[in-house]
Parts: sequence; structure tokens; C-alpha cells
Amino acid sequence: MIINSSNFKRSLNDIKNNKFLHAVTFITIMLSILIVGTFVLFASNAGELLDSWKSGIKVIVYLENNISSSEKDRTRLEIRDFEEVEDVLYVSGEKGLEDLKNQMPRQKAIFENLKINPLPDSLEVYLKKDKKDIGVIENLAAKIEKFQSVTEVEYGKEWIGRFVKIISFSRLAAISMGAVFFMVTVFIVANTVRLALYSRKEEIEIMKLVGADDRFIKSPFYIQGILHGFTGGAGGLLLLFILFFIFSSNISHDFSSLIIKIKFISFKTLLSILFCSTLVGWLGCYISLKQFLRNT
Amino acid sequence: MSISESQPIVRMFNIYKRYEQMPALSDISIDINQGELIFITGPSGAGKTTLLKLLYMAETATAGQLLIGGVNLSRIKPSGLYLLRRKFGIIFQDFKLIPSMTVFENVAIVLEASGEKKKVIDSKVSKILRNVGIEDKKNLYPPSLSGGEQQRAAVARAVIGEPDIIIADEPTGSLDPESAKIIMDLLREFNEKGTTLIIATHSQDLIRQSRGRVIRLKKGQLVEDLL
Repeated sequence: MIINSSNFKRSLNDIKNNKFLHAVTFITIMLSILIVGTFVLFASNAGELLDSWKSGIKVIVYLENNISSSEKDRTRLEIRDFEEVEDVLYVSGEKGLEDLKNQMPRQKAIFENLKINPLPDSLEVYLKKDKKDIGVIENLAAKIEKFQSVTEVEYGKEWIGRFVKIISFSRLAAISMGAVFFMVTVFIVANTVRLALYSRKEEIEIMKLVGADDRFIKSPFYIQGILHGFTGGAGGLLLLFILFFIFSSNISHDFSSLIIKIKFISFKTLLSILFCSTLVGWLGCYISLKQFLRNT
Repeated sequence: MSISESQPIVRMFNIYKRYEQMPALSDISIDINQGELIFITGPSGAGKTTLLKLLYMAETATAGQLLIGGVNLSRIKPSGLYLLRRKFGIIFQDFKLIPSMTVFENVAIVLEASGEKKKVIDSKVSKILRNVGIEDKKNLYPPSLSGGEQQRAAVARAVIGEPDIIIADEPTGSLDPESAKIIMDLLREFNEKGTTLIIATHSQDLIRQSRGRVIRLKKGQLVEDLL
């Protein structure tokens, strides 16, 4: 591809002369990027939410009632020796009940009427930062459950599993949608270029007759494709930002107590999306030009 | 060195061209030397334009061998065709100017395609447009020009790259006598500098006014080759 003022001028002239065709391509790329960007935005925020929840994950280990203090201590130390464990805290039944009362002040009366403390002694197991995956937690829980001194292990298996599934699904959806829209957009750009090529068939034949090589003929089309991809991508991301801004302004009033603040796509991801949309423009041109110049 | 002593730049050996089953050229064998002035003449349908098209490979021969500058055209790959065409300056019967480009751009495209610098292009194009008398039309688009002006633009485009061979299909066909003289003088000027000039024409006046070799075709056959 030769990028010079003459080829750039030829590209812009063609865009000026075929406004409708080029507008359709631009809008198609823009909308595709908007849709893909929405999925990426959702996936990245959901991922962050999961990470934030994961940081609060602890495994509660309920101990048998009739074991000695030394056995409780031995259990605590043995659990602490597992490589995925950061720390283990002992919580007596009394302390557990006290914490519960503080957490549920409106139900204080119910707790005060209790004749016996229903809560057993427990251990709160805190995991290392990089060991908070559901698989690791499940394995650890299985290992702890084998202890004679342990009656039950609790770690919110249900909600973690469901949430991980939702996150994985949304990531998969973002990738799948990205792939589908990539192909659809490449196809549309390729068709736009093909139409432009057929409308300029005679011009291209004349250029060939006066000694222009394929590179010279192709260059303005590649410039157009790259311009379509880049501007369409930038337009889509700008539209996404505007919609995000409106949405996040409203949601912050309604859900001000959300654990995490909803963030826009990171700069690095934005650049990657922009690069992909530019690649779409280039690829659409490449496919059409290869086919067209082979047939002329 | 006289023309007859020079190495032939174009060699045709028993060329045949058929369109489906219709013969357009039959058994044409011609040698053309560097710097020659050739008129290809004959009635309509004689095969003049077909013969020219074979030279710049807009058409390929059905049979026979055609060599340009010692290169057999049947061995040229499509990807290398542009190198052959840069040896030619072609004036088409229907001008073949690009309507979406100005006169200046139409002429400049030959130099742009061969990678000339903008400054050189500007200077050369302005000069050649002045020589053919349409410098004041350089920013106009071909559809807004008269037939004669379009013909001059086509001539300017053909000669701008200082080609080895200029091929002209009825170069003065749509010109008034005065414009025809300007164009022919310009083409002769290039011919005198050593450029081979091959002109297909009906015009016997044009042939009489110039001292050149005359190749006469009739129904696709070579009937006369006069020096």
C-alpha cells in the first residue's frame, strides 16, 4: 500500500462521490462496535464485581462440640498449613452469636430469648489472593471436610458457582458476538468495496492501460477501508461512552450502595477494539481487491 | 544509425486473432524498428485497432508470436504487465479519460503510477498541457471539455511518460485542422527524438503529410507494407 497525498486525495474524492455507500459502511462498523463494546463493557464490569466478591470470600469451618481446645488448635494449624490458605481465625460459639446479634440488631430479642447457644465453635479460613477460584475452594473444602473434628464446611458454593457461570457466559458471549460481528462487518465492508470497484471498473482498466500496477490501484481502497474501520470504530466507542455516561449517571442514584463503581472499558481494551475495527476495514478491502484484480 | 539498421523493437510472427470464430487478423508478420513512424491504415473492420490492442496486451493473439523489445508477450505474467505498458504511450480512439479526475490528474496519473515526485509531476504536466494548448483547462473534468480538448488531454497523457513507443488510434480524428497540426507536430517531435510512433488512421491526408511507413490492412490481412 502506498500512502501519499495523491492516493489520500483519490480516497477522499471517492468517499465524496459515493457518500451513501460509504455512510452505510461507516454506520455498520459503528453499530457493530457499539454492540461488541457493550458486551465487553458488561463482561469487564462483571469480572471486576466477581473479583471484588472473591476478595471477601472466606470458608467457614464448623467444629464438633465435644472436642478439646488442643484438638481445635491442631485443626486450625493443620488447615493453616494448606498452601492455598492465607490465615485461619478461631471463632468461639459465643463470639459467633455476639457477631450475629451485631449484624442483625432488629432480631436482637430473638437471640436474647435463646436458652442455649445454637452456634458451634468455628474457624474462618482466609484464602491467598491467587487461590480464590471456585475449583480451588471446592478442593480445599473437600480436604477440610475429611477432618474428624469438622462437622460442616460452608463457602457459599451456590452463589459463587452461579455467578462464575454468569461471568463465563458473558465473556463467552462477548467473544462470540465479537467474532460474529467481525465476520459480518468484514463481509459488509468487502461488499461495499466490491460495489465501489465495479462502479470504477472502467477507471481501473484505464489505469492499468497507462501502466499503473496493482499496488497503485489498490492503495486508495485500502486507505478507504482503514478510514472506515478506524472512524467507524471510534464512532461506535464514542456512542458507547455517551450511552454509558447517561446510564451510569442514572444508576449511581438508584444503586449508590453497589459494591463496585461501574467503570468504562479500559484504555488498553479501547485501543484493542479500535485496532480490530481498523483491521476489519483493511480485511474487507483485501478480500474484495484480491478477487476483483484477479478477474480483471 | 538509420532506422532500417536498428534492432526491431516490435516483432510479429504469423499473428492470428479470432473473436469466437470470426477472424480479425490473419497471418500478420511485421518488424518495427526503434524510432520508426508507422501508419496502419485500411477500411473499418480491417483489424487496425485489434493490431494495436495486441501490442499493449489489451488482447492476446490466438496464434503466433509477438515480441516487444525482445520480450515474448506470451511469457509476460499479468502481474508484470504494467512494466510492458510503461513502455507505451497510448492514445485511444475514445480517449479513455477518467471522468472523475481533472485534466491535470488524468495526465499526472502516468507519472504518479511510476512513483515520480510531486514537484516533478507538477512541472512536467504543466509543460505538456501548455504544449498541447489546454493548460487553462487543467482543473476541468473531461465531460466538460470538447472532443478536441479531450483528444489533446489524451495525447498529453500518452507522451508525458516519455515512452519508447507511442500508439495512437485515430489521434486527429476529432480535431479541427489546426488542432490536428499541433498534435501531429508534437507526436513528430517525439518521433524525431527516437520514439517509435504507430498510428492507426483512416486519414490519407495525415499519411501524405508525414513521411512514414504505411501498413495497409484489409479484412484482417496485410495487403501492403510501404516504406
